[in-house]
Amino acid sequence: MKKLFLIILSVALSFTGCDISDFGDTNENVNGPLEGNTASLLSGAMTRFSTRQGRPYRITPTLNVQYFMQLVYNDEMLYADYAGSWWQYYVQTLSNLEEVIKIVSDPEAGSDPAIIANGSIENQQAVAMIFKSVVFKHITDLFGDVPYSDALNVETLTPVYDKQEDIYAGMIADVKAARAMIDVDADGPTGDAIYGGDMAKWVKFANSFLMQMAMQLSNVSSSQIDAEAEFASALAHSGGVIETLDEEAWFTFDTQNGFNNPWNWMRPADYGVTQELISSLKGYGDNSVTSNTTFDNRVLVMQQDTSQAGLPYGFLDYGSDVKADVASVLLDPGTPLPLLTAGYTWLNRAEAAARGWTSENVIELLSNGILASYASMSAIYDPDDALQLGDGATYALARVADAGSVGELQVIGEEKWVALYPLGYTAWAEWRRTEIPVLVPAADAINNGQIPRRYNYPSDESTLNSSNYQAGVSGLSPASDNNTSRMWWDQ
Amino acid sequence: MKRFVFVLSLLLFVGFNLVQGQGVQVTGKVTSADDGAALPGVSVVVRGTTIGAVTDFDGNYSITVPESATTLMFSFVGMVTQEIEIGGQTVIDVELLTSTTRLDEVVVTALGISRDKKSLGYAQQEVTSEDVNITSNPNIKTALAGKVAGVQIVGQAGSKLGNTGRIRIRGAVSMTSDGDPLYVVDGIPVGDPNVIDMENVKSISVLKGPNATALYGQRAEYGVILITSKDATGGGVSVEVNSTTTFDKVAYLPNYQNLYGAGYDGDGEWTIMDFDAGFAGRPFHPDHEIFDGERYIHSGYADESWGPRFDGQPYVAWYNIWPDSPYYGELATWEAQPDNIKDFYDTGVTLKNSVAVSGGNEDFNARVSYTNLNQTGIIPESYLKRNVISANLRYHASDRLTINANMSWNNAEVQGDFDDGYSNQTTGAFNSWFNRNLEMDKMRELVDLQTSSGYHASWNYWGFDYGAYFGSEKGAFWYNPYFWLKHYQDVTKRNDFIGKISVSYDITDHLEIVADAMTNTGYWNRYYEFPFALGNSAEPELYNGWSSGGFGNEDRKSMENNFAAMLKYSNQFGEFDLQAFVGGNIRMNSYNRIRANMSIGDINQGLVIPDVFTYSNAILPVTASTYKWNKEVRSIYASASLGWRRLIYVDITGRNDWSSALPADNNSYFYPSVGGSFILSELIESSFLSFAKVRAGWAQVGNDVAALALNRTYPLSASPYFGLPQMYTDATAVDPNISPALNTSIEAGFDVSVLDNRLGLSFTYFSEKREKEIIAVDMSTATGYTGYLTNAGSATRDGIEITLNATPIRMQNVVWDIAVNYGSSNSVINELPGDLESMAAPGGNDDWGFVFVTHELGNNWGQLRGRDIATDDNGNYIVNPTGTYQYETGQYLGSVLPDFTGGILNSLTLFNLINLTASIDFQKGGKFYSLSEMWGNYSGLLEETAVLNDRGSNVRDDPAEGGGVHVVGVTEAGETYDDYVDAYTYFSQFQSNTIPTPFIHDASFIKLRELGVSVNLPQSLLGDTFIKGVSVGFVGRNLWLMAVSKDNVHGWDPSELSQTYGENAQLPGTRSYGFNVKLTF
Repeated sequence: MKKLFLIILSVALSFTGCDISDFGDTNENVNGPLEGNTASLLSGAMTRFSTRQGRPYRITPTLNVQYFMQLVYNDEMLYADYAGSWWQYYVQTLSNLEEVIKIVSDPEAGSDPAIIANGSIENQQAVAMIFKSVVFKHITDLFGDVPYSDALNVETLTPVYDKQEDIYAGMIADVKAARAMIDVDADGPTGDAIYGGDMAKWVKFANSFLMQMAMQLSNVSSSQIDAEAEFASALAHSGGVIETLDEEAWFTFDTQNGFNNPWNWMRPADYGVTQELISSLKGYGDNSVTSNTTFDNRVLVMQQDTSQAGLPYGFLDYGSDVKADVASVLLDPGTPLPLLTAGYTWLNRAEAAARGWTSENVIELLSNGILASYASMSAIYDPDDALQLGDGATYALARVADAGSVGELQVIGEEKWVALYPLGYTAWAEWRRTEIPVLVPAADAINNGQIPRRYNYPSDESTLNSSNYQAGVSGLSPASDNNTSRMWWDQ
Repeated sequence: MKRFVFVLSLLLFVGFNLVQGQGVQVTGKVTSADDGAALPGVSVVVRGTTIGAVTDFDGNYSITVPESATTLMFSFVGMVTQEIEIGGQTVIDVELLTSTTRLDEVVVTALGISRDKKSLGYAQQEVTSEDVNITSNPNIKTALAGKVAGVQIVGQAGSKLGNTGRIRIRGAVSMTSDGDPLYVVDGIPVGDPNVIDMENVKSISVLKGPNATALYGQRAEYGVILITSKDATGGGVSVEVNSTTTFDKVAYLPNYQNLYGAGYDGDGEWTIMDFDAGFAGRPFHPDHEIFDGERYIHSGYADESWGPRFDGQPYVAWYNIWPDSPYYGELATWEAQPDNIKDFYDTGVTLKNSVAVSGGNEDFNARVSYTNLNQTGIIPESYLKRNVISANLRYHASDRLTINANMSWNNAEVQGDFDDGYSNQTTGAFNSWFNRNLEMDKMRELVDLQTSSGYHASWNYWGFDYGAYFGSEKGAFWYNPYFWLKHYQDVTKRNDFIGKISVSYDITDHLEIVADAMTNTGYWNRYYEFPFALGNSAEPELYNGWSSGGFGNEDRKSMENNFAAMLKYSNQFGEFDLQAFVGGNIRMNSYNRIRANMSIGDINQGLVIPDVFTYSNAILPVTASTYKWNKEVRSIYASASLGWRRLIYVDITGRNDWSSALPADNNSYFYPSVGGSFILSELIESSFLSFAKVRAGWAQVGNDVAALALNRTYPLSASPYFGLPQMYTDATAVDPNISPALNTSIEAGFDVSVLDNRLGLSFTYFSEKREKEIIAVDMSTATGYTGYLTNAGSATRDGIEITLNATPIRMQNVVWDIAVNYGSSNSVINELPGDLESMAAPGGNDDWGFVFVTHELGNNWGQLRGRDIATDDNGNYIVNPTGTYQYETGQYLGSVLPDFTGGILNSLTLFNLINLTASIDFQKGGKFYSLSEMWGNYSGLLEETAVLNDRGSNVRDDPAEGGGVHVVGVTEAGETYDDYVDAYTYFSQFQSNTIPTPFIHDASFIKLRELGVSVNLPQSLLGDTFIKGVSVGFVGRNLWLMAVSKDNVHGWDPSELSQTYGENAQLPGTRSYGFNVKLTF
């Protein structure tokens, strides 16, 4: 039958020589770009990362560190053991960065005008690599062992889970390689949504980020990574570290085009600032969880009405009690959000000094950290200085004194908790490492009564990547996929 | 392209002699053997040729037959085909008998080819105009329910105007799609069969599997429904007028509890107003001072019904508190409103009027019709208006040349908000978030009521306490639904044109060439307006985050043009009959969409100047999006059917397609089929056996991909970020070596009828295997992709279909016909890509992710997947110390596909004047999930949340005092748990822990879907008036859901579930009654 057809067909075709199977451009896709643009891809990764919204991607960690509480609909606050989600990181954030690296790594890229128009290829690659590690740190700190070396490759449908230790080694190596690639005199990437292509700032960011990664490993010993040495070497790098407001990494939101501060999505009636946070900052009252006894003006940018006491964290039913509203500035669509600040970096240096990793002056660094946090919160959240936060000098002095009485590491940890607001992810990673401040688990917890140490792996992984998922779970202690199991650095 | 057409035409002519034959004129009259009435529209064909004629209105025909001709065949739908030896006669009058089994029909098969049904090697079922028009149902899909074996209606409540559900034939076998069959109207492929008015349908032919559809190739993977519209008859002018009026009343609602009203905290909600005290240190609204000392619900904003028990005592209701209300300062009575949901809905009225004119002469005849449908929905403010103009024209230009033109122009407009997803303002509230004490007549009356400051007054006001606390007069979550519907405008308009011009020429007596040009052009527009009045009464700082107004507009244009040519050959060679054709088709599809929609749920979006609906007035720039594609498929096909002594028939078909959507170097694919039938009854002389046939066939059919499935782009953000468009990698990776998917099918069966055709049985077994499915395989998102589009996996389906026809009574004045249809189908997933043990199935998930339609390797197609209550080895529920259930994630909770479906059609004719028809359809098995029921439990609205427990107390009473839900199970340690659990804890655990189990039900049902009584006025009454016929009918639709599965406690109608997995918050089912009048002039 088919033969007959082919005979008829060949007779037909011989009449004209026309090719029946040639459709020309009938099926051309005119609905979008066919070629990747490195500026748009890099920027796309950054804006995707910075606009993540919703409970798993934005709010849950701020509950775990007791910045916020949920008045109703409070499963997350009570530690419900939900499956986590990571596709927003791997798909269209990391994959975008990988695509940029792929495009600029092409030997021809340096002579392609369309590519070099977006910045020098080395600088484009360096920023993509650094940001890739930012995202990966985020993922591994949430889940533990995750796909890293095998990830982002369509050839490998079931990527292996790398050990968290190997991931950290890889990220540190990547950021150092990227730092080495940077040419501060050449054009930075056009699509840099953070520093607008200022490569000197990217060097400072790389160093500060390396210090943050090294500090995250303070509780573990590794044959691959000498955290103390990594910290010191980053601090000693000639490019310097983030010390001032204008060197800080912030995301700016383009409200005119619908790129809003993701906190704008949060339904304010359902959330409040915790009594724990409020009392601690005010330096008095119920449920204070820090050693502070001095009024900390930064509470003015966290709480809408500072006359309120707030509600304590972790109860199923608050009856008709009145919560403390989250300050509206956090919820405004245009409010910028931090990625890495000077305050936090100073505090990392203070902690390193207190641990004896460096010989810097702990007290001076602690004070700098508080002052820098005041400076950036005042500038970003109260640009008109209506709230008159001040410079924080009095408060810093008081905290330095506290450090003398309760211990430097405790005050540094407490100050990180305050300075990192509202960066729940980073604050939660810090808290799990130091357990400072001393947070009391939710009274009505619905897991086994512990503050979560991680997110559960995404539910798809157990079916789509089963054996690697099992290997990932076996890296946890205990080896079960729960939110109370601990990952490698959390010991 | 043009060259391709040229080649095709040449090809068709090559090798054939053009012979003209001499002829003899034969005339005659065809009448019905039953009543002697003239039969118009009877097909008269010279056997073994394509020469034919059709009887005119008076049953007369005239045909020129070649000298070599021996036999004339007379056939008509519903009558026994007769063959008459010509034997030199020039006048042949024929009487046709009514066929009870319809085995002798000439039926329409693939590509519109008419075939003698008994020669077919596969099962095919026809549905007559009468059977689909029992109740003048404007929806062709539901009109087919229960009338064809193996056809399942995947319904949609009739209350969703303009939305017609879909049909599933023989279950499902594609792993990635679960689509509607291809609808072909008079040879024109159409997307929506409702472009043709049902009054114009002459017959419907259902081609179920690849054996019947092989000639349609790739488009027929879900089967084909061929619709033949009424055509012109010769003779004088005939006018038909048809008028139907139908009323729709809401009939199917869940069972509500009527003991407790609004609130969260039982009797603890009652609060006595102490005006001076205020609440939480804030003063009450001054207009509320007159309620000092009166009782009210503390959680005024509660959209649940866990509040106080009804006690018939006074309380302050939402409509008492605003000075503009006529009830201001009065008190309402705390009592249940058992019918409040039912009372919300209007009675829908459908008026359908049509007129058809037909007539003509020997050379030219025409049928033109106009139908107007005017329907108001049960949702207030909703309507559907439809106008259809159709024409069928035929011109016999010469003895050999015939030109046909068919066209239908359909214009429809639908207004209304039919959102049946979670949390919509009508059904999304009523069964999920509502109060059992709400008086619907007050809502209707006070639709325009305003608060003291001029905001819309909602039933869902925060209440005195929280109103004081927030300083708000607005609703917490919800509007008065009448207010919403009054102001929210959502209009969809359609304009569809289908048309075909067909030229046929008899080259010789045995050879005919037909060339067709067809179009199906559709224009679709949606426009919505969300006015300031709505946005202004929302409270974005709190919950109700609507924009300050907005609108949207979307246009879609789609076009499909087909150009086809076919050369048909028909001849007799001794004892052999041959019918063959070769042909080709070019199909060109295009699609173009432009959309510019403002998001009305985005608090940052809105209009600057209220209610000025122009884009330049939008707060945020509105980004238009466009989407377009073209696709072309070129095809060549051929078919040969060889019969021997009318005893054995063998059919062979083949088709080759070239698709522009496939990779350029691998875009050609070929599908063959072979089938045969053996007519046993030709060998057996028996007065008992009327007819017997066995048949069998093998076929393949394939499917390619959507136009742009392989030609992908980088997605872009909706708008640029500080001037730079944001670009993302494509989340789907594509296998470069994709090839078409392939279905291979075998089908076998038999048809038997006995006792002068009074009892007939048709049986079919089918088995189909689908391979190389083009699947976007889910993969670990750590790959950077969510899916990989490749050929993978395999699924099979097999099943049987049985149709049984019987005429228990056939007397002079009483005829009773029964037709029973039964179809079972079993679809199994045999292979999945890679190491996958499951993959997402078509059908998605409910809005809260309780169930996902999923394929599990080795299991039946389309499992509901989600959490399940954990059980021990003995099947006992494992219970937490608090009395809630433990659960296991990722469980398979049953396939959505039914085990079998079917229907029973009863028709009783009395004195040839009165006809009574009833259609029952049924389904066994299949699972569905009800999200409404889950929320109805959570919110304390449904009956089970307020029943008596086995201790005789209401489950809402304190467990310590005899109340509570009785929970029996085992603890994690294996000890027996037997205790009473607080009702709120019990009923809210399913939401908190995402456990769908209690709300997954068996989708079995038996339903009396249609009932029609029609009375034809006897001719004697009409006398010599110009009226030739009057028929009056009474119709009922969806009259009685006779039985559902026992676990389907709320009686959800499984035949009207809007989603594959079940329902989200769907519109209620209706019961319809009406009458119609039909006049013929």
